Amino acid sequence: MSFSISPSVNKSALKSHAWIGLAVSVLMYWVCFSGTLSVFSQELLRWEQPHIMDDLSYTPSSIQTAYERFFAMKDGTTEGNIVLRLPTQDLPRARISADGEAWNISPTGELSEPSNAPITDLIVDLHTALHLPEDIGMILVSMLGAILSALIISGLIAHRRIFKDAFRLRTGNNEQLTQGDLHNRMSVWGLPFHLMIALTGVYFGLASFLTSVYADAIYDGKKLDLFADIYGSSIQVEHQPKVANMARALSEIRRMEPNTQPVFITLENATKDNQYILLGSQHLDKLIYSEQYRFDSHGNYIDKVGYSDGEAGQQAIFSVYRIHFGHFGPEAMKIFFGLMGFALTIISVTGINLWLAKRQKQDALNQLWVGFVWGTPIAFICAALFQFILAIPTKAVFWLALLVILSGVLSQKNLLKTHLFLLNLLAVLLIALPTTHFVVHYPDALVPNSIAINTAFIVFALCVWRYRYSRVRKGWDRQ
Amino acid sequence: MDLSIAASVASALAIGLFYLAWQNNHVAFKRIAKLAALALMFAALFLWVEQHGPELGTCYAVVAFSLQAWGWIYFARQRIDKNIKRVTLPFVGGFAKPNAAECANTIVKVAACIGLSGVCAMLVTVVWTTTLSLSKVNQIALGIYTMPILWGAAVYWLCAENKLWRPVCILSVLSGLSYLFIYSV
Repeated sequence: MSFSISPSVNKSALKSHAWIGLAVSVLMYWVCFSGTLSVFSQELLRWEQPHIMDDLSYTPSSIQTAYERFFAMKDGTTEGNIVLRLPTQDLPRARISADGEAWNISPTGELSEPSNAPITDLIVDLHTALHLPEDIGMILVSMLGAILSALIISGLIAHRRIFKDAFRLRTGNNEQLTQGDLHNRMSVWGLPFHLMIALTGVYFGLASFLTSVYADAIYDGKKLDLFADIYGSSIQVEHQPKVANMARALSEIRRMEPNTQPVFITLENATKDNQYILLGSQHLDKLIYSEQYRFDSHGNYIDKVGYSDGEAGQQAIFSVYRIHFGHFGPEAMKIFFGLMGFALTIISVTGINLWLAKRQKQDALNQLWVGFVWGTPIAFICAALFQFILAIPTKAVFWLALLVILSGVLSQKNLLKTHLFLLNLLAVLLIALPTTHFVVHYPDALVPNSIAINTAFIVFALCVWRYRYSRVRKGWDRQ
Repeated sequence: MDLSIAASVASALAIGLFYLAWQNNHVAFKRIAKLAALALMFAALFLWVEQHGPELGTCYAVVAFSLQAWGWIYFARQRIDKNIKRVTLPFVGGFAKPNAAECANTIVKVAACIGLSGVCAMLVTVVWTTTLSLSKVNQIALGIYTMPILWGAAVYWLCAENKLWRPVCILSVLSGLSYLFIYSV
């Protein structure tokens, strides 16, 4: 028995694939590209503030000292919760925050300086909300997750030679053939990863809508009961001391769960009479972000929410974050996730390139697409450079730079030469960025994390030059 | 560590066997090679799970398999150096302006892809998952992970169908029925 899809279904699937892909082209590219970079958000954050020492040797008493200093600085009152991010292998520095203010903590418990990472924020905010107001942006990005699953379904049905061409990659002079093969091979062999990114991506902005319907259907409209089942019910404590004993809670968790990695402490209802400590500790053999242990303000253990040994569904929901961003396992996992995210970016670019090539003409769409594809990384680097040198807000520079590039590209009729110019510019900027970072942050830039990231930028510059050179050899500069 | 290495080798061999099956024209060999490759794939998955547990093990298996396959494809690429004359496509300034009917069709399609498909996927997901004999939390988790697929399928249909009114009508009816099922039972 053989399975085949009729040519008419195939044709309509291809039409559908093209339509959906075009409709979300630029947005999907931005989300995929910034998502790839976001995998390394913790490393970029350290790169931005290299003078802050990486150190894992924080003691419970130094965390307590930092909390008390922060508490005193805020005059003993905060509007929201106080959150302490504890040092881990991938981000070996501690931070305390409340009411939109965040401070780095030194290993001795001093508040060293405000935590400030505008370049990382620029990238992560583009990925999570496309620089729009968070509520709207997250919903829009989550919708792109659903659209990605539509692209996967239509792509699968449209791909008639999925088995016949399973290993075919033709390189050489025929650019369209190479791009088509790259698009198809990367899509098919990376399918489980792409699907997983799509499914988990939808969760962040749209899960609340779905859970509202579930609350109506099976909880008689009582959302709090649903939240209690999934996220654990809140606890009631009263007459708690004004200053919480975090050191005791931390020591207690190390004694109770020695094989877990404490990652954060949240002081719920901070500075109020009913405040309590919520301590998140990662179970290294699981994908859930963390188990949450609750302590009263004296540091006495109360209970745990129960994600680590809860129902499969509860664990699946709490695994979404780490699965989506590849923040699990050894550091190499991030590199693998980065590669797979980059493949998704290439798929989104080659898909549009193929559609443009099939039109048998070039117009403003071709110009704009080249501008978006190469202009986005150029604008990112411009924003980072202006931030390093003049401390200008990154988002404003990013959008301005992109606008200038798009206007410039629209005024050029020779697309190949424009393409080569943008590649050249990108390569130069990829060298300028680590050089500037090194000069501005010398000698702090000599830490392993900064050296690795700066080296990576130089390697990317060489790759871009190599790519440009291969185009020059094909005669792009003579047309 | 040893099991991880064995798992990597097993999945690389599986891809190698798939490649041999793909290259070969002999039907019997193709079948045997594919079966052996599948067996090796499952062996690799088993070894990853054995070493790192079911959750991390499955993730490692998926990532390793995709990356190894891409690596294999890259090294087995065919270089075609025929002197193909590059055709420079004619440049037409500006955009090709769509007519009013195309604009209207696009607006309906976009609205249906975002609004109707999304609402339909959510309502239908809640209906089908709540009919399963699972705990409430598992029903919700299943819904969270499957709703995007239903949404994607609806979007695919809306864009593939020549008669747009057909998917619009059917998705509307499905949404209505699901709404009635949830809010009137």
